[in-house]
Amino acid sequence: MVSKDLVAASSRPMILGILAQGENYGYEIIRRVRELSDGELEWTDGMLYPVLRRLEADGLIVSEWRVSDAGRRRRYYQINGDGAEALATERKQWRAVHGTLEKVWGPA
Amino acid sequence: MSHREATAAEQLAIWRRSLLAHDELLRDDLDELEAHVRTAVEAQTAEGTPEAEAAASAIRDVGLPAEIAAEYAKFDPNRVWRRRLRRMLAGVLVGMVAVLVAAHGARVPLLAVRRSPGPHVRDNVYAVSAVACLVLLLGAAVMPPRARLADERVALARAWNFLATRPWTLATAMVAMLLGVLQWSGRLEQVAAHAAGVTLCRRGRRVHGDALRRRPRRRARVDVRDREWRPRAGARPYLLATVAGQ
Repeated sequence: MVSKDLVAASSRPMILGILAQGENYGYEIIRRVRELSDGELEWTDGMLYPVLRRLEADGLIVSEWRVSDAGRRRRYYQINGDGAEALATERKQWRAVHGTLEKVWGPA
Repeated sequence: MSHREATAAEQLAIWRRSLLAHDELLRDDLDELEAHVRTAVEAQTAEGTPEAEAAASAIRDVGLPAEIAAEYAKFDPNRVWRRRLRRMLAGVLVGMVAVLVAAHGARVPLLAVRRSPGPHVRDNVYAVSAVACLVLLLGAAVMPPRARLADERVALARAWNFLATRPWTLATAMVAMLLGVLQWSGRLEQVAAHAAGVTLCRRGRRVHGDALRRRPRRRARVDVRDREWRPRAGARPYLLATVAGQ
């Protein structure tokens, strides 16, 4: 299980990355993360939404309330140009960290 | 009291109320969190979990209200104060209108019954409300933390804090003080007279605000026996009737 600090630190690139694949809403974003990490990344559900608020306040994503096909009112999030740029920067930095750790630890 | 388990709807209602207690959360945030929990409940019930159980687990997964609120406050620390300030201003406005309407309503009966200066009575009401509210607020500020109180005093502290931490307490104190000042400076007389559709006169001559203010303090409170109320041109009939009836 990944530590709380690491989960918090990776939430921003994770959300931007998922939204880069298409617009999405909170519940589905959490479900995607859980699925992609095989349950290793465990988010407290309520903690995602303040991060989404912050990303929106930073102008990286936009949101819109819409009624889903199932008839439920949901807030859908979409990444914008600035968000895509921020994601590119994040990706570069995380790759640098990941690459360095790989070299330090050697092949698993 | 029955010990049956709370239904999903009851659990959600209780949970939403516990979130409402946190000023950090805006209505939009609450709606979004609720939509999340409801989606989670639907997903679990679709897999065969009983609805009440699904609701309990979805609420547990979403995290403690205080922790969620703290997260929201982290990225926008001022949102609580912006919200409280807005609420307080709204409280002051509503309070002002209410007190003005009440003062207007009380004016005619007071004059009719007492034939003595009404303003003194109102002055006392304003002063007592202002002092009472301020005592409540000060009391809450100096009240020791609950943990240090003896059990029997916890209920008292809780009641006191409940009264003192409502926005209307401060709003009432502010309105009462404001009205007290207005009353003292003689302005409220004119505002109330205007609202009642009458012109304030003294010995047949119209009293202007400036004339009132230029008078020495003691004379600024016009003795009612000295005064006539004359219907203003274009005033509404029911107000004329009220004034004429006194």
